Amino acid sequence: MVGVERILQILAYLAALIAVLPLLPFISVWIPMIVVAAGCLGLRGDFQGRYLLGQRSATLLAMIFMLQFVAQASLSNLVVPLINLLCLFLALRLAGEKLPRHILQLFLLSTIILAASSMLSLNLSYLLYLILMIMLVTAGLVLLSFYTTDSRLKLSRREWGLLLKTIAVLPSVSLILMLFFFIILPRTQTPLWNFLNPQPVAQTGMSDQVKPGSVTDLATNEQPAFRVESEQLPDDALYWRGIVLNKLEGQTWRRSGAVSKEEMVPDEGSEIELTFYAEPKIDRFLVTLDRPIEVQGIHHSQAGDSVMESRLKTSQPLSYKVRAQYRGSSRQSGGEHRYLGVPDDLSGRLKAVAEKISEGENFSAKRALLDRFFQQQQLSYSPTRLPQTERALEAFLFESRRGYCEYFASSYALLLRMAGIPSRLVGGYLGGTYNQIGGYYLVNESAAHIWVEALDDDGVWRRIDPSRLAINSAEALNLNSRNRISVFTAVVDAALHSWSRLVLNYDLHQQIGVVRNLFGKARQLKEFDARAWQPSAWFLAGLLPLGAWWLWKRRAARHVRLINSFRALMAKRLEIQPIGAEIGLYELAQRSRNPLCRTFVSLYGAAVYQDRALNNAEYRQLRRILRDLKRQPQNKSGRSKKAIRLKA
Amino acid sequence: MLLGFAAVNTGNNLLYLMVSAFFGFMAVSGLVGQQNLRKLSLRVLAADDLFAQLPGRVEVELTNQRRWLPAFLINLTSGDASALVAVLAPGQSCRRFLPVVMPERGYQQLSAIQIYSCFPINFFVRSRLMPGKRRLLVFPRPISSALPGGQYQDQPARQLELSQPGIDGELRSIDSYRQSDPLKSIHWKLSARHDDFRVKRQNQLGAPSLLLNLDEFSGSLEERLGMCAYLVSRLIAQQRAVGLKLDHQIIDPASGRQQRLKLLTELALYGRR
Repeated sequence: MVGVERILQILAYLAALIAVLPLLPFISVWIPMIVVAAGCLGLRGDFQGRYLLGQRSATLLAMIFMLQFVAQASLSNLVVPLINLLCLFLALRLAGEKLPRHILQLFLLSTIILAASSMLSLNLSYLLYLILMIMLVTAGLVLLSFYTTDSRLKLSRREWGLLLKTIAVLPSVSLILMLFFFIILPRTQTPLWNFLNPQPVAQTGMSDQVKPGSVTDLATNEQPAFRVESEQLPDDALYWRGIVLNKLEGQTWRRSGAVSKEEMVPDEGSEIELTFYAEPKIDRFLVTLDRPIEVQGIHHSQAGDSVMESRLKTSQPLSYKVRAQYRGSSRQSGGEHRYLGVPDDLSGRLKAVAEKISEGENFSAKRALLDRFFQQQQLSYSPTRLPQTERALEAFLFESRRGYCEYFASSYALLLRMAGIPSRLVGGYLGGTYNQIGGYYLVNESAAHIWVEALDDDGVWRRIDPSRLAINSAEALNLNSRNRISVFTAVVDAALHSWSRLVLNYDLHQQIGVVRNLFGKARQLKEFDARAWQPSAWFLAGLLPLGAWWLWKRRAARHVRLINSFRALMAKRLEIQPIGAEIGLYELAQRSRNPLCRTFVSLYGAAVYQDRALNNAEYRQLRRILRDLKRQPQNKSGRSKKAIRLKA
Repeated sequence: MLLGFAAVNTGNNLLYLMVSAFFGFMAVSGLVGQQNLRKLSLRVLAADDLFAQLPGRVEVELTNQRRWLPAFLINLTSGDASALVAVLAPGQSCRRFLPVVMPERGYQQLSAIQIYSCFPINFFVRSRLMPGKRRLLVFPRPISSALPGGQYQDQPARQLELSQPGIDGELRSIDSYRQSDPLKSIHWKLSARHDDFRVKRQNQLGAPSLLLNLDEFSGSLEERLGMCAYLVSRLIAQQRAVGLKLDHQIIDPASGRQQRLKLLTELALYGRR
């Protein structure tokens, strides 16, 4: 026999532990220490039946803690002092006596503290703590009802088994229903108390200017920049377009607002739809797949050079859909001269190279000459020991011969312009790791990249990635796209992505989307296509025999079924509900005074009570008797109700 | 409520998750609580020691007719009496005693029996009135009395020897031991002279039969019935054969539990049929 009280206390301590654990990285170390010390004091008191912290001392301490909170808290510093206060209240309750109402308070405080931890972190681990807390609190509340009903109650092992099975059902079903309620609970367009939520801190973003060395800082930043849900694309198609830099001033490339309209040169075969989930950024440029056709799901503006810009600046994660053609390009319609500007103070060496390239007859020839020049220079792709002088590009091409993507792109575009070919820089990302489990690309900040777009003889912008001309480009550039992540990493990242996509970003818009989707599905039901459901129907048809076999295995033996029917019939006829186990078959037959009943019982008893199975003939005969008994009207069962009552 | 308010106002989806989980728990606990009182049946069992105006107890049997779900924390109440069934497995029954004091003899109706339970959480208590027969047979309140005329009152039971097998009469025969024989019936001296155990067979001692006549007692009808009820219980406890004469009805003397119940039933229902 195990008492309820002890188990209830254990559950309360565990709930307190689960509540404090997610707070550890965010609160002062002395708070968890106080909670642990209070827990130890409480445990000692539970075992000895004597508590050091009395009710009055606890109240006095609670008031002191409250005053301390009032002194510390302000609108800008509210969450942490509040959580500290809740933890101290929890400690007081842990250290003291644990009457039923105190245990209830412990569960309540633990739940509120866990809820408050969501004001500090939006980590996926919260889900684990939440599930554990729901299990502990539900089990605790159920046991508390036992404890309140009878504090000295002790249950046998079998009774505990029955109770635990039922307790296990409660949190399981609660968690399933949680998904339903999470979707339908009302949400507001703009939260009133948004200041209480953890604010994502945007540290990275696309700059509207690039100069040698400005992208290098990102080379070691492995923070996720964005995730893109799409099918897997060819490695050379993974150019994620962000910003176009069209104006060169000294060594710095900038974006000029005056951009003329470009006409799309379609490539229908490479059209694809993608969903982007971008981390918070400090700029408003939206990353898309090069070349984007359309962006949906976010208020934005589209420039003539396919640069997308969000209308609102937000520090929250973004999600939007993009329709793009990765083999597509655009045709310039006027204003080409804007892409030919170069600085005046160019060195002789650069001019000499440009003159040589200018000898090419057309775009392809000039490009081939320039490519050959880059290859001859034996340039290497590296984020370290880069030239940072005033003439960094010249130093890169002729002296150090080491550079990062912006060195390659800047010098290539400059030489193209000097050779009379309109060109510009495009900033974005290159490559990404495809997560097979989640079906999306993960692109880190380290994949930030600059490449070149040049106008060919037909006035079409062509993508050129000069970084691929580096002698070590195969290892340096294709590293991301060819990188295969482990299954564990893929599962963890897919879980994080799903957590962010399905839970953290779920808002009023998505709620409306779900409703629309449901209505859409309902409309689709009207146009039911049986052929589409054929595989499912076959699957279910395959399951049917299994279900039938399961039911067949679970059915009672045929003599048990017979006797159950007989007893149910007798219960109805003799008005005994239910027939207790102490009334035997022979007694029932005697009470009924019905010859058919006596025949049934004697036939049944002759077989079953002598440890012999019913043969088929006996079984059929018993069934026939039962059928006849059921057909008999009740008043012909042999006696009046009065007689039955007297006998009973 | 507090968490829901915080969730809506902050738009924090983690708070929404917690609130959703608790809504789910409330829904499922409501359903389980409602199911906990379903398909329970109650039977009031016949009592053989329930006397009018004296504290007694009624045995009730609670049956869980459900197939899967056990019943938890079922409180049975009738008037001021209550009893708790903590756990009742599906398909099982259990019995509890409810203390009662019935005011009168005869067939009496027990107060309505209600079951209630705070399971699964002690925030709400659900209750249900149990249908079914609650009729009880209450015997007359026993009133201490001597036999009319004082005959046989304090005499021991062993007065008549019956020619039936027993353990306290004269020796009938010596037989071989059988498994059903009590060990104390083994005649050790005789057994020592034979290859097997020998036992003594004895006659049974009986007492002279008594016929209680209600009219021979003095007092009001209820007092006379009470005296008869007292004597019936006492004399049968002394293993005497007791009969009863009520007006023109005579119940032959006999002893044993069944006779006691028969006589007390007649006394309980006297003039109340």
